[in-house]
Amino acid sequence: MQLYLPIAEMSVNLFLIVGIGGLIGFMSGLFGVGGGFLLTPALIFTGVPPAVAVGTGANELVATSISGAIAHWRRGNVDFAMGGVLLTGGAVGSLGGTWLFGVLKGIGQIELTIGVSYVVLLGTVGGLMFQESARQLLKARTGSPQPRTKLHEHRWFHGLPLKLRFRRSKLYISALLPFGLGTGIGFLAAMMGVGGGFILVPAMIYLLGMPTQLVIGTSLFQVTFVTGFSAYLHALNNQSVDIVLALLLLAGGVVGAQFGARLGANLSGVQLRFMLSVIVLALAVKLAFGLFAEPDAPYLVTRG
Amino acid sequence: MRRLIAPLIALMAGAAQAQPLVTDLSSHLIAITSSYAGTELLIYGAAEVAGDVVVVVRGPEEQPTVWRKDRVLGLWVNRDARRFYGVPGFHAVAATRPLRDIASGETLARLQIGDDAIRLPARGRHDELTLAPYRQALIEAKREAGLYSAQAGEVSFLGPRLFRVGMAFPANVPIGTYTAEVYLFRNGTAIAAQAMPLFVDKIGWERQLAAMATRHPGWYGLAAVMLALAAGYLGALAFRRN
Repeated sequence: MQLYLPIAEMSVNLFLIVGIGGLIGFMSGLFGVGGGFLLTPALIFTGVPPAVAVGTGANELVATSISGAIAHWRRGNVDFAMGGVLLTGGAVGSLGGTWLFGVLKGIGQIELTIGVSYVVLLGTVGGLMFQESARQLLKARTGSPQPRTKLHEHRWFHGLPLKLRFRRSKLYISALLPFGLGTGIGFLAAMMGVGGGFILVPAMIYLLGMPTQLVIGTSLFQVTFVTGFSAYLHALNNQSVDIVLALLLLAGGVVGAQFGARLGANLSGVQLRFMLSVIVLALAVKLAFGLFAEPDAPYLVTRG
Repeated sequence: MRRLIAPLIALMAGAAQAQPLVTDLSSHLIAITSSYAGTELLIYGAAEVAGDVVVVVRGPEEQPTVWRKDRVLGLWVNRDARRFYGVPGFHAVAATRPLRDIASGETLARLQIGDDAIRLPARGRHDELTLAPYRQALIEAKREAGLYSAQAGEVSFLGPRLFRVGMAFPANVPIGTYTAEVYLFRNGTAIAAQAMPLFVDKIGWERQLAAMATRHPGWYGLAAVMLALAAGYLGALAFRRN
């Protein structure tokens, strides 16, 4: 069944879009990542103009992340204090990101910047996560006794000024750290049309030292606000949010997120991290290939 | 558009007494609704003199940019750009026979009939020779999107005078004002022509929504985010475990 999208100015298959939304929602609930790093490329692949894909993608991620955040909050897995500090930084970052998006689009380098950023970020994050989780999984399999470790490593940056106590996460660290992290994520989120969960989740585990169970709920809480803010900015500055497209995506996404959250509750943190790292690495390799391989057409036509 | 219509008017004025060509469209409005997935428009008419009929539908003008990709440090980068203007967003041609059998390339170029005959002016000073591959890439991109097309041999005569042709409009047609032109060719020259306006526009709630997005972007953005929040909340409620 075909449906015409008023802002994207094209007609799409209803079931294809709902299906994409469902898949992204499922991943969102399972891993605590928004799934934007899959959604934006998927939308562009179906023919949606890149600007509309980024703006609408952000809008759809609002729905999947709040749905997932509520599911995790019911299980008591959201650290609101940490989330609050993260999203204050996120708001600052997304203002900068939407601005740079416009500048790069004007000089025709937005695609390249997005491509390179994706490869570098996904490659680094995926690689680190893969290494860590694979080692732990192997250890568990060989049955060697797990040595009792500290809750988290204490490094120099945990001791910066403005120390705050995050009770739920059992952390007493500088608020500058999550604020800076939030700013960086907000910037990338607005630039790349993603929520930033795929960077936030490992950063919260490895940099902040938060427990994995709390990380997913708290990341979803933060992503809800960051994506909401960037969707609003994209609608305001570029008129690139298609409500009809967003509604179709989130019809699938909301349902998918619930199933994802349920499955996620039955899996251990290490298993989840391992699965996510494989997906992230696969996407990084595919995107890197696209950057270096000879393009099908040596010319690109853009509007305006 | 103006420099295009002027010779048409001259042609029509010359042919006014004899009325060798009378044409019309099945509709002057292509309405884009939620179920729109492409449509066909019927263009028909009567030619009082025997000859070849050529139908051209031209879409609203655009200002596209064509980038050339180049290898820099192993990466493919958008290097040089040419900015074009006055590029028709849609160009479809139908004729009774292949165009080159009807008129000379020169005549077709003057009337801009056929996508390779469209003048594609570029901004700034550029060598015509270096512009050629950018033009070609632009035309090919439009053809691939189904927005430039030639349907030679599609105009059919019903008896000696009446002719008709169905022009296809794909799902991705640009919104705006179009012209449908009908030419009557005889011995390689256009002896009569008629131009008719045609509008492609969104209708109903799609139109309201698109207008809202451009006129009140702040409220539109707020509504979009609220809608997403509400949908996510409802989804979480619906799946609540008892």
